[in-house]
Amino acid sequence: MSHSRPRVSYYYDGDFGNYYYGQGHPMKPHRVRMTHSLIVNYGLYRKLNVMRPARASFEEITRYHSDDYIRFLKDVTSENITSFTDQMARFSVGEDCPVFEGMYEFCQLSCGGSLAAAAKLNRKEAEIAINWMGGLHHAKKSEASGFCYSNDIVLAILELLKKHTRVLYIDIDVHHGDGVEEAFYSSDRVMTVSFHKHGEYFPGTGDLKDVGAGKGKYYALNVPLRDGVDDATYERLFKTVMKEVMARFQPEAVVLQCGADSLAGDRLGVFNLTTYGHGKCVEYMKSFNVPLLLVGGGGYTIRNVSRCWVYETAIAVNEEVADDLPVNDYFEYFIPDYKLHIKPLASLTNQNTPEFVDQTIVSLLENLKNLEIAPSVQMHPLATTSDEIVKTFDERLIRDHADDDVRNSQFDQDVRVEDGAEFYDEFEPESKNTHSNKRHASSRLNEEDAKKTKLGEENHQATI
Amino acid sequence: MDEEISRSSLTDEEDYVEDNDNGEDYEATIEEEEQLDAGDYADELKDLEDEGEMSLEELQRKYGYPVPGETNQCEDEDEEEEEEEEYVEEEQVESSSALKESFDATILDMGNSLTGLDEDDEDYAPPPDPWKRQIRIDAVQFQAAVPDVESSFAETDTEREEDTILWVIDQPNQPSDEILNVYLKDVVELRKAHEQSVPPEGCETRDDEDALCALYRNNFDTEKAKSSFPFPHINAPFRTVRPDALGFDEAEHRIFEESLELYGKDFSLIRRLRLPYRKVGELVEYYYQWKLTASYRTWREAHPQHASVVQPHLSAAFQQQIAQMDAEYHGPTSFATVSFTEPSTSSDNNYRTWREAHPQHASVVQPHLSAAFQQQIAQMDGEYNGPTSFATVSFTEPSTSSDNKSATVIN
Repeated sequence: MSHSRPRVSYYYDGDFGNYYYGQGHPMKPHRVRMTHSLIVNYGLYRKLNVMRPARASFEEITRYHSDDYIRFLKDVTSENITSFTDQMARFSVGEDCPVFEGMYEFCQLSCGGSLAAAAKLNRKEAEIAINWMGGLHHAKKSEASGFCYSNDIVLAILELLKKHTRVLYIDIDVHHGDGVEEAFYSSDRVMTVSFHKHGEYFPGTGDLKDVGAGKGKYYALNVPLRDGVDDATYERLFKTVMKEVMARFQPEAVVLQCGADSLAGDRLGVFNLTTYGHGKCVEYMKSFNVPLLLVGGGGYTIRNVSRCWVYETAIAVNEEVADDLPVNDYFEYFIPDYKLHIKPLASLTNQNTPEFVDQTIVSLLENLKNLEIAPSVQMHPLATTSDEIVKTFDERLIRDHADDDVRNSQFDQDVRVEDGAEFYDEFEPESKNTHSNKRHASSRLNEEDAKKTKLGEENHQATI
Repeated sequence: MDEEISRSSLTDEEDYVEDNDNGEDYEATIEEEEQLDAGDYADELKDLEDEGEMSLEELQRKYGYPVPGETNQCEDEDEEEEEEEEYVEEEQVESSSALKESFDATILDMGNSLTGLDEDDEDYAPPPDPWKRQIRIDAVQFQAAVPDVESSFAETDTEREEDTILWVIDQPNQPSDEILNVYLKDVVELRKAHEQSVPPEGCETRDDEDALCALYRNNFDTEKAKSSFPFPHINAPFRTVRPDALGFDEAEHRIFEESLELYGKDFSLIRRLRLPYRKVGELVEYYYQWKLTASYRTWREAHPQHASVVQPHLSAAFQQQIAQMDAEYHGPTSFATVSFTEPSTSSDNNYRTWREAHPQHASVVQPHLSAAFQQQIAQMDGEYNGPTSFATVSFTEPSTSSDNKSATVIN
């Protein structure tokens, strides 16, 4: 079922394709240019709001990253590299993440696109915003990793948080989205969900048991998979999990990292998805009608990367595109068939057996059960009282009114938080952490339930 | 127990360390506990091993028991601790670099052999699952600072530098597809008249970015837009290339191919040694264009060592599968070997002949257009007799014959 066409904004910079990581390096920014050429030649360009984004400034990038690290990225060049050897080791630059010509600019463009996209969604000028230059999910606060130097996704999410209470991050790259997960590991305003290959594979994180920490506990979800996952398996997992996540977390904005190394035949990947299977994830998240930010990511068989991303751009604008590729600037790259959609590798066994998938789903739903909607009791039950001693924190009173069926509620967690700066004997300190960002249950609860059931029906229709 | 009682006293303030787990028990199973302490695991193993090998006196010394004949007990203990600490540190550094090496090997296909693990480490027992990593938790070092909702919403919008708008949709005066296509065809005529490059036959209504931007900037007034021709090349690269850079001429093309042979795709090096007035981005840009030409094909055949690289991280079984598939498949596998019709020495004819042989790729550009409009296009094509594809038009100087150019130069 389709709604009226969503307004889609698209961010691209003509310099981007000319950055080059180095001889033999699998990451090729050129793939974004190829994607752009397909978008133009399929006639999708005219259906988009097209922007050349302002590049991100040092201040914007250091909203997440440490000053030292970004200053280093800015200052190091292939000419002065020898005077930076200790910093290179400290910031993990030089091997997977080599120093290359224009590296800092490259980061500025990648981040600029994602920031511009997020700002667009914040101003409600678009329903979907796309930045194929972004999605570099491995970069850490003070460390480059997995071909990523600056984490445009974290920056975009921080921007979205200015206008959206809760933001959901979904990662369908074949590699675990560790950079984004780490950044928001202790936050309950951002939920990170990653589907990835796990087991003797980069980056080594993303275990099913990793669910977040502190306030962010249960706000990280990991779906570890084995080699050869196919369209059907992936669809089943994705829809089952995301349906539940959306119902429980109820984000106000969604960021979807569309790493294309989960496609069949990727130079570094080990999955067996087709463009259809990959695109289904975009289709599905679009159907929730929540502001959506699409970013790129991995993808090392560049003809397939561009196929995937142009197809997903078409999905965003509700356009059908022919399987015969249009003539474009890089037409000859698409031998031998010159088709849009790719086929799975027949010889690659799907090691994700039905039993494994069943078990995984059970565990995931178990993890998700811990994501409770806030109980009906207000967190400040005695806010109106003028009794200074009792203040807002009479534990016994709250316990009396608490819903016994809700275990480990936000209140229970808060009670156990020690305020390390103060010691007290009789008077309990005013706890700072009682506000929950969870959606508070309210009289609208029945309305929400009705909406959820309807969503459930719609999604059921969509899978048929 | 003693700790709890004394907690309320101020003197114990320094001893109290706030946990960030809200007092909850993470480690429900041994597995989980192991996971949490994965870093310390190696230390424990090493300590246990060492202790097994220590003499009785050493053990006694370590645990503070009086050893007969010992005078300076304390000093020795300290020394031993220091040594152990040093050893443990070395161990950790080595294990992390060993991890790094194994990661590099699985990710990067740079053709470098593994530098090899240190030979002295034969006795070293690796921790379980060396490929496993942990998410690091530290509010200052690793996590992002996420403000609470009130603070977030109270933040003033930072003024970003403005994005350059190139095209918009959903405007009240938005032109229809039909109007756009007529406009685009008109632009193609303008380009031809000015001997600029034009899209191939049947693709006249492709989304010409420059033309669309000009239209947007003239408030969708097609006449005004056309009168502003020639259009600036919007979204052109300007950081990675010099804006006034000329296309590669024959001499440069030769240098380029020779350099590739000598240095491989190290464009930084090639620039420095052979084409110093160029920017690296210009070489990269040229490289991706050059790959589409026939001279690339010839070059690849002459240099098989630059053939596509394998995926070392995949299992041997999978490699076998791929090899089998390759053996069974007899069609073209890379554009070094594909020819558009038959192998030909002339590059210029191939594309044209191929296009005639594969008409389905000509008219797929705008499948959404109405049949009537498609007919119009077909009619216009029937009437037109000039050059119709970029295989016949040169991009820089006006030329009657395109056969002179061996390499297509792209602006």
